[in-house]
Amino acid sequence: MILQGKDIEKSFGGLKALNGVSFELGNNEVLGIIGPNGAGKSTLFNIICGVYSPTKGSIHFEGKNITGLKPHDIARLGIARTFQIAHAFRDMTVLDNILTALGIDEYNGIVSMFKLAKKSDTVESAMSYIELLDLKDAANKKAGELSLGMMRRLEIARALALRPKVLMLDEPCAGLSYDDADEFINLISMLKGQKISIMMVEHNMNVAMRACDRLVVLNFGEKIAEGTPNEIQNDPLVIEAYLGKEE
Amino acid sequence: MYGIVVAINVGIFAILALSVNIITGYAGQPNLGQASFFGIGAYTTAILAGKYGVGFLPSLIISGFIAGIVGLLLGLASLRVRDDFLAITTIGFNFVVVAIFQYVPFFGASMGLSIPPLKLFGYPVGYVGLFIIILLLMLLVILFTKRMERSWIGIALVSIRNNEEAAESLGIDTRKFKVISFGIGTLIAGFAGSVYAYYMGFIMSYNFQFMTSITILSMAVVGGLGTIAGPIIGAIVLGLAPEIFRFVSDYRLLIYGAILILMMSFQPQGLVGDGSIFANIVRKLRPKTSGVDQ
Amino acid sequence: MFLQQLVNSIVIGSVYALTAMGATLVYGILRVLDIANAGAYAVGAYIGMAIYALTGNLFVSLIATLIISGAIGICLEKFIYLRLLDKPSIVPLITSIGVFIFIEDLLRLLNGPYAKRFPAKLPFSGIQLSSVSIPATWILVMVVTAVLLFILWYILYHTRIGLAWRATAQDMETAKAMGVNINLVVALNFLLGYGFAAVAGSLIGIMYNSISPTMGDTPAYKMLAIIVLGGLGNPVGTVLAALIIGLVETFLGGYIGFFLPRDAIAFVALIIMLLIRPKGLFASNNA
Ligand SMILES: Nc1ncnc2c1ncn2[C@@H]1O[C@H](COP(=O)(O)OP(=O)(O)OP(=O)(O)O)[C@@H](O)[C@H]1O
Ligand SMILES: [Mg+2]
Repeated sequence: MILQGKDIEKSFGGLKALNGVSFELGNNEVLGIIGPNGAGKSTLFNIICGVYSPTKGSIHFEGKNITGLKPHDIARLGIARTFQIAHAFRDMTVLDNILTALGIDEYNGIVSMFKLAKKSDTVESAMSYIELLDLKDAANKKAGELSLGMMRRLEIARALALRPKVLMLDEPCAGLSYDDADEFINLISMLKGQKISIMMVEHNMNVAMRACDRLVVLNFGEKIAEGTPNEIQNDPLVIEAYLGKEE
Repeated sequence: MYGIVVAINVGIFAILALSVNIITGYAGQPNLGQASFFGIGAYTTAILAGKYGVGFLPSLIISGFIAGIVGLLLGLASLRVRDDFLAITTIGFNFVVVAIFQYVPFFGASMGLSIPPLKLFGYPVGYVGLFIIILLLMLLVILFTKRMERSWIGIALVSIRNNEEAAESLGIDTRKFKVISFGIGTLIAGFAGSVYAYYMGFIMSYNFQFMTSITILSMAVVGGLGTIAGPIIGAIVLGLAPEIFRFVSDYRLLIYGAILILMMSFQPQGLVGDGSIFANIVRKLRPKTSGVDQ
Repeated sequence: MFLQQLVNSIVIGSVYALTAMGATLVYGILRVLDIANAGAYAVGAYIGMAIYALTGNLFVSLIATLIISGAIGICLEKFIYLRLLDKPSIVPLITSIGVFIFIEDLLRLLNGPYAKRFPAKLPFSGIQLSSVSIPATWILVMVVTAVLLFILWYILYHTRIGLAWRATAQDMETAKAMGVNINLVVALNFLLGYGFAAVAGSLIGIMYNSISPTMGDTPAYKMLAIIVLGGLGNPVGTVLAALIIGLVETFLGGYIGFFLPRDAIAFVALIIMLLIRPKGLFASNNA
């Protein structure tokens, strides 16, 4: 087990976005978080990544309590993420977007932050992530000029460039075509081969079923089910809360 | 004689525009109070050189550092407020600093302060010498900015300008970098203030009022924020505009206002900023380079 | 003495409230810091004086000032601001400063740089209540402000377009999706925003019997402090903040005047507040 959440609760004013949610992410596992709109999936992600601190409960990473750490500290520990709404650095080229992640070890020191960024080996390393996500032709384009699908790939490439132990993807396939989704599933299995543990929110049930080892279902801030895709598919509670409504 | 005076003025404002560019252009933090740091630098030099007879170089350096330390503090305070608040906080800071210069006797109050003529190695330095000093200082600032642009700090600042949340998610301590940008930008403004004090020989709070901050920021914006050539070109264009439009001197401010409105409406990136007509032409002419540093 | 100062501070606070209301409304909807709004203040004073000289009727001149300046505001919105909304926030800010400089200088060119008199004959006279004397002009200022703020409050909270305004201030995209006529809301916003500032300028001109092209300078900046104190984009907060600044200036101005000029007090208050309550004194949800 690499990442664990215990009894997480989060209120926004009167609204309980999360209510006593626990989860465990195993080593080298792909864990899917599913649930209807507003169920609290992104809120859970933001709590894990330090954007919000939980009202109650705690997060543990490799056995260490990381609750309340700042997002940049959490990134440095080895948890990388993408955002539900594209968060590319729009004025920067695709290459520079990736470079930003590669500087993670240099941002702390007042001397090291003045080291040149575009050394040839760094650029080479950036290019490898760019190629991995099939963005080579766009490497020198401004991120703001990319299509939605490319922007999502850019965010994944950027997150991977942190060389994380845990990768968190918030609706990576939203707005993508069927073919893209297929490619995405291949990418996930390839990353699994590289010993990266993955946690992903996915609305597309088909993708979630195929890509994930295990699913956690949230509804109105509560965990209503957990299990293998097969178990979830046949869980009456889930069908009622989620699948039933979708059809 | 007259030409050199104009050149000195443009040079000082080019340094100032470059200084605010680090805070607003690269890090994306609105700063409408840069003249207060210019003023803090100038008043520090006036006090050191005028009251205590301190020499040029120590005055210059101390002035920069005092401005930079105050800038760091303002940067720290700025972490507490949202962007829009920050713009107004910096305006407010400018008014308060000017009011202190204007009312506190130690700062000469309404009488201002005078600065002895600049001497180096016992020789008086005239306008030409001063201009050379300003060019050297500007060169240093340009080299520094270039280095910054190509190193991790530059990447961090631009990423913060683009998307703070994403920058944080990549291990960038956005708060720290914002404060650093304030420190650097105001330090440079302090240097400019010191040289300005020697050049003027006599300073008053009036020289550093909010309108001066607007002028400095406008130069950076009109030239192109987040570039190195932009603020310099902006300082030349807006600095020379009053001279060029001398024949219609009565309409100078009107034209100044119109330039700002037209530029922002039609070339909001500035004259040489990313995506401006000029930058697009250069991009087409220049062969593709990978831009790798060895 | 105390009561006299209290009344005085309410008068000053009223003018601040009217002046700052324009920028508050604009910020509430467009999230633009509209420094040019203070240009309307000086414009209003000149228009008011011209029309008063023409008609001799104070009421007509105030109404005309509101409408003409409001129309100018709508033009600025349509031809300048609307096109800049998707740009980084520094762009509309610099633009509004450009507009402000332009307006101020245009006034100077048209009317000369010197102060002019605005001698209005009021249809009523001042009041003397034991030790408190309230000149007629003060009464005018307070009554007009109260009426205009009441109208604004009524529009915002008791009409359909007011509901639309509040919905747009909450979230423009959602309001648009729900069928709110954004153009109408924004136009009304500028009409009232520039109109109010213009009337404030007229009132100050009458009160001090003096108007000048640069009379908008100080209000332009002080207004910014007031709208932040009021929670940026929150009309009620703005009125409260304006009254507080009026009070503080009147009562403390005399004591610390030797150290800080009266006009810096608003900014000192602002900086202190930001250190203590960084979200604003009366932070509203939508701000
Ligand atoms: N910063 C916030 N302030 C107030 N309420 C919030 C905030 N963030 C989320 N919420 C609320 O918390 C609830 C859960 O939101 P969340 O974004 O986590 O849902 P989600 O499961 O990711 O939904 P979606 O599938 O639409 O992305 C929603 O009701 C949302 O409105
Ligand atoms: Mg979500």
